[in-house]
Amino acid sequence: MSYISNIKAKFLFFYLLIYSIISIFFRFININFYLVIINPLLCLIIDIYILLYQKQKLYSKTNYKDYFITITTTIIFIIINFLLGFKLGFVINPLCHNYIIAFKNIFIHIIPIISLELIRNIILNQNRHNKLVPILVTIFIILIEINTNQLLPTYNNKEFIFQYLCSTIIPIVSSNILYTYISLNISYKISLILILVNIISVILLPIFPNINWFTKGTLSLLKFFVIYFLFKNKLAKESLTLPPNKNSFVLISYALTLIFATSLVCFMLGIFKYKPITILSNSMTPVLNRGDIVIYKKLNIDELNNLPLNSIIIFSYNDKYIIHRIISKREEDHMVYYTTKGDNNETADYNEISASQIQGLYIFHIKYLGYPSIWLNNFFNT
Amino acid sequence: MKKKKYFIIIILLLAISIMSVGYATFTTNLEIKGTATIIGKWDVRITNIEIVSSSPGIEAETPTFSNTNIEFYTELIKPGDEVKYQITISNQGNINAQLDDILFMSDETDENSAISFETSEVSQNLNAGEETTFFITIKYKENITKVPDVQTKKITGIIVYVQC
Repeated sequence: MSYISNIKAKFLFFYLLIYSIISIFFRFININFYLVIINPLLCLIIDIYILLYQKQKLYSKTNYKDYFITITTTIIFIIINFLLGFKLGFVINPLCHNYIIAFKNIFIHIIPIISLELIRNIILNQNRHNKLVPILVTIFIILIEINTNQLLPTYNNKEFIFQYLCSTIIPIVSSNILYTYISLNISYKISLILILVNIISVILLPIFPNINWFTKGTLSLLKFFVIYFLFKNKLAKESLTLPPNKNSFVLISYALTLIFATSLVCFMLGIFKYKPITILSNSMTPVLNRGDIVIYKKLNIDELNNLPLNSIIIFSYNDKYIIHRIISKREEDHMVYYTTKGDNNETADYNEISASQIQGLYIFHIKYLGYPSIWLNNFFNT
Repeated sequence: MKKKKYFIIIILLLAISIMSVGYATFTTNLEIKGTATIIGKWDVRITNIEIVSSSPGIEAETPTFSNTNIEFYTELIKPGDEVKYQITISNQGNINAQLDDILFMSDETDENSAISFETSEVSQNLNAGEETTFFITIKYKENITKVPDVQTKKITGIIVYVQC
C-alpha cells in the first residue's frame, strides 16, 4: 500500500481488494441475497459518496471526438453483433420478460459497475505516475467480475475451460485493460458509456444473436483493439508525440492487423464462400495427408448436381466430415447420387452420397497447418 | 512506444489464432458428438454352475451353461433325494445392475408333482465387476408313495437384471 500516495485512494484501493475477495467468495457459494441486495446497495452508497464528496478527484478530460469515437464504435459493434445473428440465429432474451425484471437487472448490474469505474478512476488519477497501481486495480476488478461459480465445478472439463476462457475471461480481461487505459488517459465517462450501452442493450432488447463462444471472444478482442487504436491515435495526434509520417505508418499497421484479424474470424465462421477444414486421416494420401488444411468452396444446388468425376469433395456422413474423391455418378428420380473413394483406400465408400450431404468442393490445401488443431484435439481427448 | 504497439498487435493475432484453432477443433468435435454413442458395456452373465450337494447314490450330470442359459439334468431315485446347485452370476460390464424380476416355473401337473424345486434369495444389486451366487435345489418329494407316470420335470428360470 505504500506505493499509493493519497489517503482516500489508499482507502479505495483497500476497499477494492476486500470487495474482490468478498465477490469471489459470494459468487462461489452463489448466495443470491448478496448479489441481488447487499452488493448493489453497498455500491450505491459508494456511488453517492464519490459523486457528492469526491467528484473533484475524478479525472475527466474529454472533447466531442471522444464521445463520437465511443458512441460510433459501440453502435457499430452492436450492429455487427446483430448482423451475425442472421448467420448464427437469434434467441429470446431471458433478462427481458417485463419492465420490473429489466429494472431489477439494471439495479443489480449497473450500480456496481458505476461504482467500480468511479473507484478505478480515482485510484488511477491519484497515482498517475505509479505503473504498478493500474495493473493491480485492473486485476482486482477482473477478479470481481469473473464468475467463479461457473468455472470451479467444471475444473476437470478441458473443453469447457477453454471455451470459458475465450468467451468470458478474455472479454473481461481485454475490456478492463481498455477501461483502465481510458480512465487513466481520457475519462471515466467514456468507459461508463462503453459499459452502460452494452449492458442496457443486453438487458432491454427482447432478442439477441445466438453467438457462440468463438464469436464472443474474438469480437471482444476486435472491439478492444479498434477502440484502443482510435483513442491511441487521437491522443498521439493531440500530443504530437509522433511525427506525421510515423503516425501514418502506425495507422497502416493497425489497420492491416484489423483487416487480417476480422477476415480470419469471418473465414472461420464460414461467412465467406470458402471454408477451412483439417484432415484427420490418411485416406486421401498422397494427395492429402493428416495435418493438412483443406480450403473448400461452398456450392449452390446446380453445382452440387453437376460435379465432375474425380473431383475431391467434402461431405458429411454420420455427423462427420469426410473428404474423398468422386468415382462414379448416377441419377434417379431427378436426384444425383455420387460414389466416393479415398485415394488410399482399396475399395469405394460403402454408401452413396446425395447432393444434400455435400459441404463443398476441394480447392487447395496447405500442408501441416492443421497440426495445431490435431494436437489440441488430442489434448482435449486425453 | 514502438515495442508496445507491436506487442498489442502480436497479442491480438496470437489470441485470435489460438481461438481459431480451438474453434476448428471443437467444430469437428461437436459434429461428431451429434451421434449418441453408448460407451457403457452391459454384460451380466452366468459364469458358473456347480453341484453343491446331492443325496447318496445320486449321479447328477455336470450342468452345462452359456452366458444366459443353464441346462442341468438329474435322475432322482427315491423320495427325499435332492440335488443342490450353486449358480454364479457376474457383472462383467461397466454398468451397475439391479434385479428387476426373478421367476422360476415348471410345467406343474399332477403327473410330475413328485418333483419340487426351490431357490435361495438372489442378490438385488450387482455392481459392475461384482458377482453373486444363488442356489437351486431339485427334490423328489418325501411323501410320494408311488412312482408317478411322468418322471421328468422341466424347470425354467428367468432372472432379469436391469441397469441401475
